Amino acid sequence: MVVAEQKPLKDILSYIDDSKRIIIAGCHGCVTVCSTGGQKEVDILASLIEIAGKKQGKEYEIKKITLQRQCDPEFLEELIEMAKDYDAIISMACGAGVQLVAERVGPIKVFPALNTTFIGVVETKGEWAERCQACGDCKLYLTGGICPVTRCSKSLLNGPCGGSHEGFCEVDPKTPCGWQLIVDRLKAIGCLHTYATIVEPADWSKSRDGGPRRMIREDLK
Amino acid sequence: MNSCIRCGYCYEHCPVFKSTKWEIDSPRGKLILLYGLLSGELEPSDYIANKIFECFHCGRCQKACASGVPTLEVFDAARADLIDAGFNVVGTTSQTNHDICARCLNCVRMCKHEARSFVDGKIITDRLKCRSCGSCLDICSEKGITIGTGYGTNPDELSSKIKKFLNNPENPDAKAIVFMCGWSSYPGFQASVYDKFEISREYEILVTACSGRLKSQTVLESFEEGAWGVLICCCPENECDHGGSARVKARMKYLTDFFEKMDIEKNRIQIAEIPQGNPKLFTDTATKFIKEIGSLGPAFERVGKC
Repeated sequence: MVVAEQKPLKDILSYIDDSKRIIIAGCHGCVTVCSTGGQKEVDILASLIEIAGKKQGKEYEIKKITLQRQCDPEFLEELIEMAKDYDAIISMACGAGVQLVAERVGPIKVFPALNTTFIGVVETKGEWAERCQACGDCKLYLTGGICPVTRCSKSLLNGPCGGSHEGFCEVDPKTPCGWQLIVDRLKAIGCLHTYATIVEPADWSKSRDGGPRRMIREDLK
Repeated sequence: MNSCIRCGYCYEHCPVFKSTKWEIDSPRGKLILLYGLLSGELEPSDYIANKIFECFHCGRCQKACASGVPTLEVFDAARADLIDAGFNVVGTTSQTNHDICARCLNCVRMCKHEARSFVDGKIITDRLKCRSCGSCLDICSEKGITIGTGYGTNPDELSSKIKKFLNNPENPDAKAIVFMCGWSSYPGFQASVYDKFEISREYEILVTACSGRLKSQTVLESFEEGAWGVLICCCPENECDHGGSARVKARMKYLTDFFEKMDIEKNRIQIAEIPQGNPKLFTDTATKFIKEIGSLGPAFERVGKC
C-alpha cells in the first residue's frame, strides 16, 4: 500500500491561515489502511483545527467528507459539488489523491495534510516499512523476492558495499543490510547461484528519471 | 448456581445494572434467567440470550458474592451453550460493520483477547473471547466498530453527556471531564464513597468501561465543548487485563504532542493510574487536577460562555 504520515499541525494551519470555510477530505483507500487519512483521522484533524482556531480567536467552518478513493475521478464528484461553497480543501489522501482533486475541483485551493512516504507493508502492529520504490524494472525474480533497490540503502544491484557490518547497514546500524537479507534468502531457497548473475546497469528511464510515467491499457479503454 | 441466596450484593457492583437499574440486568437477574432455562420454566429466546451476552466481564459480582457463586464461570458456560444452540446475539461484544470495513486488520492485531479474526473476507468477533473492553473502538480508521449496547460508555453516549455538562447554563463552574475506568477506579470509588462524596460542580465523572475504550475524538470533543482539562483514570498498566491503560497513554501522548504545537498546555490532559479500592487516591488526584487546570484557566476564550 501507499504509506503516508500526517504533516506537522503547524504546517497545515499555516496553509489555511487566510481561509475560513474548509473541507477536510479523507480517503477510504491506502491511507485508511495505514491509519492516516480515514474517517477517524478526518474527525481528529477537524477537531484539532477547530481547537487551534479557537485558541487564536478564529472560527473555522469545517465540512468533513471521506471519499471512496481520491485517485479516481468518479469518486470526486461529490467533493467537487460541495467545494463551490468553501475556501479551501485539505486532502488527507496520498500525493496522487491531492493532485487529482486539485486538477478536477476548479479554482479552489487544495492542500495536503499528509506527507506520502513510501510504498510498503505492515511489519507488525503500528509499524510500516518501505518495500518498493516503483523503479519500473522489477528485479525481485533474481533476488529471492527481496528488493535491492529498496532494501539496500544505496540501491546496489550486484551485491553489498563495504559498509555491510554483521548483517546491518552503515547508513543506519538498525537497518538490516539489504544484500545480507538477499543472500540469506537465496541460500534458504537453494538459489544462491543466481547471486553470481551480473545485473546490467539499471535503465532508470523506467523510473522517475524518465519523467512522469503513464500506463495505457487499450483493452480497458 | 444453587448457592445464590438472592441477597443482591452483586447489584452494587455491576456496571450494567448501575446503568439501567433493571433486575434483569443484574447478575442475580441473569442467574434467575439461567435457572429458569435449566428448569424448563423459561424458553430460550434471543432476548434472554442477548441479556446473558450483556456483560463487561469485570468480575466484581463474583468478588462481591456472599455465597461464592462463580458467576464468571456460569455466564461463560451459558454463553457457550447459547452459541451452540444457534443464538446469534451481540450483547456488549464489539462488532464490525462489514460494509465500511477497510480490512486493515489493525483491530485483529491489537485485540489482547484474540477475539477478532479475518475469516472469509470479513473481520469477525469471537463472542466468547470478546471481553467487551472496547479497546478496538478507537483503532478503526473507518469508525466501523461498534459495541452493541454500551450502557452509557459508548462514544456517542459519552459525547452527549459531555455536551450536557459543559453547556449547562445552571453550572458556570463546569470546567473538566473526568473519565474513570469501570474496572478499577470507578467501582472502588462508587462502592466506597460515592454516596458520601460531594460531587464537584467543576467536573463530571464519566465511566468509560476500560480506559482503552475512550476515543481520542471524545477527548477532543471535550475541549471543543469548552473543557479546561480532561483527567483519565485508568488501572495501573500491569493490572489492566485489556492493555487499555498503555493504549490510552499512547493515544493521549499523540494528542498532547499536538496540543504543545498549538500552544495549549500539555497538562490539560492528564492520566492517573488508580488501583482498585483506592478512592482516596482518586479524590486527591481529582482535587489536584482541578487546582492545576484552575490556575491555567480556559484552554481558549469561548464566545458566548460566562
